[in-house]
Amino acid sequence: MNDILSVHNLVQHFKINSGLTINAVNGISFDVKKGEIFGLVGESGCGKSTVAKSIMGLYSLTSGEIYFKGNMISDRKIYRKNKDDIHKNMQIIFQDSSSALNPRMTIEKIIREPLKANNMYDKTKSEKQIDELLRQVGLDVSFRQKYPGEISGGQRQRVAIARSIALSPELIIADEPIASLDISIQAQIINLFQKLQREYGFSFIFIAHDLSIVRFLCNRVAVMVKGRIVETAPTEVLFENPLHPYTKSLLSAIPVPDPKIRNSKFIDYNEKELNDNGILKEVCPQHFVYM
Amino acid sequence: MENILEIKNLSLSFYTPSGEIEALRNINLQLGKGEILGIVGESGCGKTVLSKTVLRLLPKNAKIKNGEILLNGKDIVPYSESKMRGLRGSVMSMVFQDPMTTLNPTIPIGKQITESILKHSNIKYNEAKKQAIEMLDMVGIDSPEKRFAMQPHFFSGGMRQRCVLAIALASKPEILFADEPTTALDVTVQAKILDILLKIRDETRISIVFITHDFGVVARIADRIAVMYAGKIVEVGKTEEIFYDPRHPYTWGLLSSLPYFAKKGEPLKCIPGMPPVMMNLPKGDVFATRNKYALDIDYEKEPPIFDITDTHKAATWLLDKRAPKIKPPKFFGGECHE
Repeated sequence: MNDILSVHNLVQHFKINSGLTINAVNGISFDVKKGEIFGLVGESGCGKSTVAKSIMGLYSLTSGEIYFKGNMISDRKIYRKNKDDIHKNMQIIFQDSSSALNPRMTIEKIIREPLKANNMYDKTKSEKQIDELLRQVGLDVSFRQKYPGEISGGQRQRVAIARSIALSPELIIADEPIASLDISIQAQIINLFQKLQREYGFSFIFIAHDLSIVRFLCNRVAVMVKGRIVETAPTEVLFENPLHPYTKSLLSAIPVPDPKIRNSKFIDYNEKELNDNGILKEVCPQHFVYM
Repeated sequence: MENILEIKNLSLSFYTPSGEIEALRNINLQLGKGEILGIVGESGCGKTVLSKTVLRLLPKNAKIKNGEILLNGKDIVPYSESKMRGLRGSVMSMVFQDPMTTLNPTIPIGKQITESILKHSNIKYNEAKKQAIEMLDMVGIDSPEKRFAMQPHFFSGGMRQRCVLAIALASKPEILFADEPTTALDVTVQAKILDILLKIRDETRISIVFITHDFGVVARIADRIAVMYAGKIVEVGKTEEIFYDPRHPYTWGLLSSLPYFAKKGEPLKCIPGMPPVMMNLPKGDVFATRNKYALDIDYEKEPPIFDITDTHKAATWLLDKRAPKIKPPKFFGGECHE
């Protein structure tokens, strides 16, 4: 079994009141292989974050199944049985690090917390490990006593990353982890992800709307629109040969930092054209298109 | 090309209890008629403060230390607040990043646009309404008559930003300051808004100052680009000059940190460290500590602006005759190497 995570037909409908149901996710399926960086792209409101939160077990599913290392964790009973394993091995990093870190805790407490909560805290060993984690993410020991409010956004995101890798998880879900950072800081964080991924070998779901970073970082990409995956393929295949009209539109909208290509045409796509009963078909090996 | 706006030696500081923040330091900049000038830089470099200084939308603790802002040849720095109010909207307008905080959530979109038109001209309401509907049509909102009476919460983020654009353009200004107008939007919506801005420029010959941190966006829209760092313009030139022949190490650093120029599997090249806090700035070039090409003199003396061509200028000692020759990184026609 090569897949660390598989999602089957995930549906997430939020009932607001008797008259209004929001269909956030309408039946999506994908697998994440061990050691892979899987990109999930789409525009705001397409359901990317809902998928992330559903995987983490923060929402109960309307229907569908989620398997983590072969265990069906979407089932409450199985989830509870494997709770320790899931908590240790699945971590999430959110977009806004200022609201993800407790402002009243020092950095060292923030990083120590997951170790304590999972009964993995050992005074001498863990304190050394915290120093090591800070160094890994490019901070130093002097940050231990600081509060999240005292450090910059890029540094805060590094603390959030240090916290998520503290338990050396097998799967990390990063929900727009760099969207709120400056360009030069973005590059620093991307390099950090790459380095850590190589060293620890964890699998990674990278959720983003910035396609140039996805192209650079991910092995495989899935494009989402209106709660559906419309195309999934290895990164280069998807960028070189997009087949679904929405993917084409999305790729044509990426601003290219080259004035020569400034007049390239933006291809518009009307989301209403998307049919509701299509399925993902494999057009070439590994390349699936919704039709 | 005649200059509609000319900024000469402009310096501005904020005086806070913890000290003086030198937000703008000796800015020189021109904006031609019908031109789109892109201002690029990281957050905190002073790009927003620059446009707010021209419009004088500044808090009380801000002070213009010296310099001139020539609007159509007249210096507006000594202007009184009431005289400035006459310029805002009618001659210069500004569009901000977040459309939800710009619009009043309780007032219908149409009314917010006619308000701007009625304020700046002596026409009747019905005429203003007609103009407002035309404006909505121009920024690409379909069935504008129906949408005229709707409140902002009926609109998506992209449509709201178009409405903000319609308000800013309704009084037919000569200069539009667009401060990261597409940063909060999706890429497809961003592409549409950029197309609209280009179309409006071609139709009305309006001058646009486009502030952004995205090199992809300026490559698409700008005629000229100014790169700002720590309150200074470090490099300015035509878009082609900045992309194909950048001269300042900071511009090199920004360009090489873009994933577009990176090879897959290799780390991105990044600028080490962080942008400085603009208080108690060190002696010499502020960028020196993050600059791997820094010379000894960079720690002693601030570099002057060197002319490379008539349009292309950069502030780095590397352009001095006495500086050692270094091989600049190349970004096009081959991979980004150093």
